[in-house]
Amino acid sequence: MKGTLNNYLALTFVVICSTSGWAQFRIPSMDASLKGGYSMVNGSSTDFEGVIVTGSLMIHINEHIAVGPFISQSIDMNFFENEFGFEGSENLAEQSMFGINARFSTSRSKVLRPYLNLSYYSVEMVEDFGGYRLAQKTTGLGGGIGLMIRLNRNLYLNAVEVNARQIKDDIFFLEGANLILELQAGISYNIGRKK
Amino acid sequence: MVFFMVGSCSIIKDDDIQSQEQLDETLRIFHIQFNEQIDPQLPEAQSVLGFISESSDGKITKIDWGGAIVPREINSNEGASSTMMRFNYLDVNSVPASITANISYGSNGYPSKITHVADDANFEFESWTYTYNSSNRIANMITKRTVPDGSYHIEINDELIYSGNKLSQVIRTIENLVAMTTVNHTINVTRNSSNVISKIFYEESPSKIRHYIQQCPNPDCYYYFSEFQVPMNTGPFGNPIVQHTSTSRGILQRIQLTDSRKNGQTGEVFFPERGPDAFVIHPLLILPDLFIDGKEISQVFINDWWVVNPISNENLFNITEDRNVFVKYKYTVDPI
Repeated sequence: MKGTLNNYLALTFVVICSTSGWAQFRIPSMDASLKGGYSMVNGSSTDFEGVIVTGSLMIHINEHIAVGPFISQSIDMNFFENEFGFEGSENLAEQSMFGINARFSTSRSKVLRPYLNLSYYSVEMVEDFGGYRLAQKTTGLGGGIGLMIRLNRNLYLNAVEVNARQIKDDIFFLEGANLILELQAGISYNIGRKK
Repeated sequence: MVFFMVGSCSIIKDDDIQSQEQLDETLRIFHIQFNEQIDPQLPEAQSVLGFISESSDGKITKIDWGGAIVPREINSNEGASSTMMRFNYLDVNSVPASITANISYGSNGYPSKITHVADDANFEFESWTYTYNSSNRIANMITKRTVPDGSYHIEINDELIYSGNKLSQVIRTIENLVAMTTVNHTINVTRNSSNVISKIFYEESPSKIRHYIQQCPNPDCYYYFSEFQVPMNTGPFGNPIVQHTSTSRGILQRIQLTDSRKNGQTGEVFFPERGPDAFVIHPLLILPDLFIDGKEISQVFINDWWVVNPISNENLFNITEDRNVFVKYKYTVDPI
């Protein structure tokens, strides 16, 4: 009987402690973002361009700084070569990016919240010739600016975001290309406490 | 967690080519395709497909051309002698035929002989035999053309002369072995300050420019002018425009041959009163990269692959749009 009581008390203690532990736990404040836009890489005689979607999860360190991972994937991309006023060759292409982003924004305001971002990422590029594919993976550092517009308590419109992303190694099928330019827009939803 | 799972998924597959070295080692031409576009607003019509066979060391040894290649009406005009194989979708008199091109190589690794064989009769109706100078540039090209009944048999001997490794002159001798006649021509090549071919003269009429070549604003693109066609200095209209498109790695992707009536512009149509030109299958045009300076040499032999207004059917006259013929090269990494 005594043992059963001890077991009951122990269980009660664990439950109470757990409950109070959960009560202390708060989901960190973060923004989940989904953006779409256009990405372009210009080589000396080549273009690698198309539509991309980007998802990110930005965890707020404080009101001005947020850090988190992002992924970006092309959904309709093409590789153009030798466009000299004549129709050049065109192949399907693909681009994928995964990295970490740091966002530096102004304080929360009623309407506008401009921000700067810095990112480090690995990027994969593929050119599809039908019978074979060329592919390469490299890394890079990038930066950009953007503007969020507050729609309601939790929802922001990413009205515009412009990024310039450096490509560290030469992509062997993209001669002379060393910069990815992106123009994106989307939405961000704020989860957790406001920062 | 989801982010890291998704982010760790790669779009690169194991069999993708991931370096220039790997590309150079594995890439093979799979087929050559002829497309014709009667009107730039219309889709291309595919008519001819040539499948490539290669030797174990990756050299092209055979092209099996499908149907719709036409042994053209034999004609040796003014010293020019076009190949007997023509692709022309618009030519209602076209007779599909099955042709094989066989390519053999010499000890220097460059083509020593190319033949066109009519598969149905196993008949070698034209051939090109090449010899080379010490820098492996074509020194001599002997072209032979004949027909099964022996009513036509012609041999053309082209001696190529270089100045500082740049082609400067071709001495052409045409022997008609049926009529027992011999005609000699000299083709003189002049170049501009950038060493690019600017004019091609034929000795038979030294005061005239038979062909005049003007470089487009773009690399690997040339406008052609001909006395056959339009007066000089008219502009790049009514003449073929040739555009080679290679990748940044130098791999030939496409040759665009434009029978230009408007040069892509709106408004006045130039020279609608004649039928479409034909572009014929000639080794120097189709496979320029088999030879050193192959693209440039193919310009000098323009008469051998460009046939001006060959169609007598007046229903095909009054062409008012640019007409394109595309020679497209498809590559694979798979062993053929």
